[in-house]
Amino acid sequence: MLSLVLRRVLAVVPALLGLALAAAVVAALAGPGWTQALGAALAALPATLALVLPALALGTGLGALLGVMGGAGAVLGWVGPAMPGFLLAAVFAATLAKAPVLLGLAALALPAAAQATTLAGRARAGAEDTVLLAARGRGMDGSALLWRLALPLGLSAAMGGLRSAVAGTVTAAVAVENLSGTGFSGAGRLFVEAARAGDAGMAVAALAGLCGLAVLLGALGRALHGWIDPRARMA
Amino acid sequence: MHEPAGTDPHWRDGPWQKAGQRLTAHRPAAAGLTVLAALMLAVAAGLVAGGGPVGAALAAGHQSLSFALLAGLGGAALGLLWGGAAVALGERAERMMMTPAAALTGLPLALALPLAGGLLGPERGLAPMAVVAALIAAPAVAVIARDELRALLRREFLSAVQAAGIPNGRRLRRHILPNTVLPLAAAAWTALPRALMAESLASLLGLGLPEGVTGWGTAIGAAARAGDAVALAGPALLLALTLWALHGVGDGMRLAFTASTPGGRR
Repeated sequence: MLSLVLRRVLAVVPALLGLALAAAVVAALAGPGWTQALGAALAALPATLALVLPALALGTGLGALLGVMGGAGAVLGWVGPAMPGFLLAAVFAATLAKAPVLLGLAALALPAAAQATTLAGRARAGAEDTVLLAARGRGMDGSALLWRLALPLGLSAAMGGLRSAVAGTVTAAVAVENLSGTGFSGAGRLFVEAARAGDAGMAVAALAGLCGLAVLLGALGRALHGWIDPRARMA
Repeated sequence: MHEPAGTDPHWRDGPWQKAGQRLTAHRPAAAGLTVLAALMLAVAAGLVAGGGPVGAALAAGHQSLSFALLAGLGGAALGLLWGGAAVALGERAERMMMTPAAALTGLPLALALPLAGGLLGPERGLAPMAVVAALIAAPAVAVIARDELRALLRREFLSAVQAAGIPNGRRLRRHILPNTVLPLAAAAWTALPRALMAESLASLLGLGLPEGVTGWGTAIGAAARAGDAVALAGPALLLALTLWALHGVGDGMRLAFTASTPGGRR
């Protein structure tokens, strides 16, 4: 597992270096304080990561489980396209401002869960007449079928779509950070404040940081996908 | 007993009619088309009647939808050109052109619109913002268009056409181009929800549509910052409904028109 993670992370190092270089060039062209801009963007990233990572993990895991179970999962997958993270963040900020951290996590986790639900549901439907039918024929009970066959299949499918989920969650995290009062202060807030002030160096540095975060999380997701499903290691 | 050819609807309907039937047979797509048509009528009626929170939300929809249509068409054209050129120029060029497109789809590209909005300042025009939104939507369209074209070029009927010795020009004109229209339309459709989402996010952050132009995102952002759930309800509901409808139609188009989607047309 560790070697797989290392391989996946090492594969995106050139992309990360390219992003850092692009941010440094733009920040240097924008003004003299480019090192401070890069430092501030890097320092703000852990707060965004703390928001994005649990939401993605929770959303993908729970979504995959709901997807393979059907029922409520199908409803979540059906309404998923209507609830992008930034819209949920705005609705939660306007209606339930009491617990910004929890609601911020929910705003990010729900779209990820909806996507995972759809993908896992399709994976289960695709395996229904093959693997799952064979397992039933061999006398496997419903619970074992769910946990030992359907859930790994669903998780694998959900992890396959993680790249777009990561991009969507990082994008929505910017809205969450900016709408939740003083709840979060990460790279998303830094990005928007710099963009509003017309500070190109800081805004581009923060955006490069957010893109780097998405690339890194995507690589970790691919490693996890490869660990769950050996077929994905070949990609 | 079979009816004679020409009267049996299976044989009478052309490929376009059949594609339309497949699209409307997909329930989310049919519902999405109905919702989109109703929204267009409601937005037009809201512009005429105006007034009240509902009228304001519908008027804001006019700005958001116009922008999304403009940027989406630009993004679709750019993406189709990108994907089509990659396939036409051969394997090496395809790799060189599609690797960055695929990499861009994994990035939070929608944030480029608020960045552009901030850097262009409050006097920003609609045209440059639409260009940026089109650039945001283009890579995803390019990737899907390339996949569709590759899937089409692998189909048996094209091998049969080649084996029959039909010249390249005629093969392109009579067999490839007519069969690319619908799959590429499905690919191009994905630019619309992307452009609408990017614009709504940027406007929500106060960095989207120019000052004085109120879209759904602008209204949602203002209501969220003020904690006004009543003012938020109209534009949020309309935006959610529009995104759902656009995705429903897009999914239906992919299932009905494309050969590369699992479960899609073969």
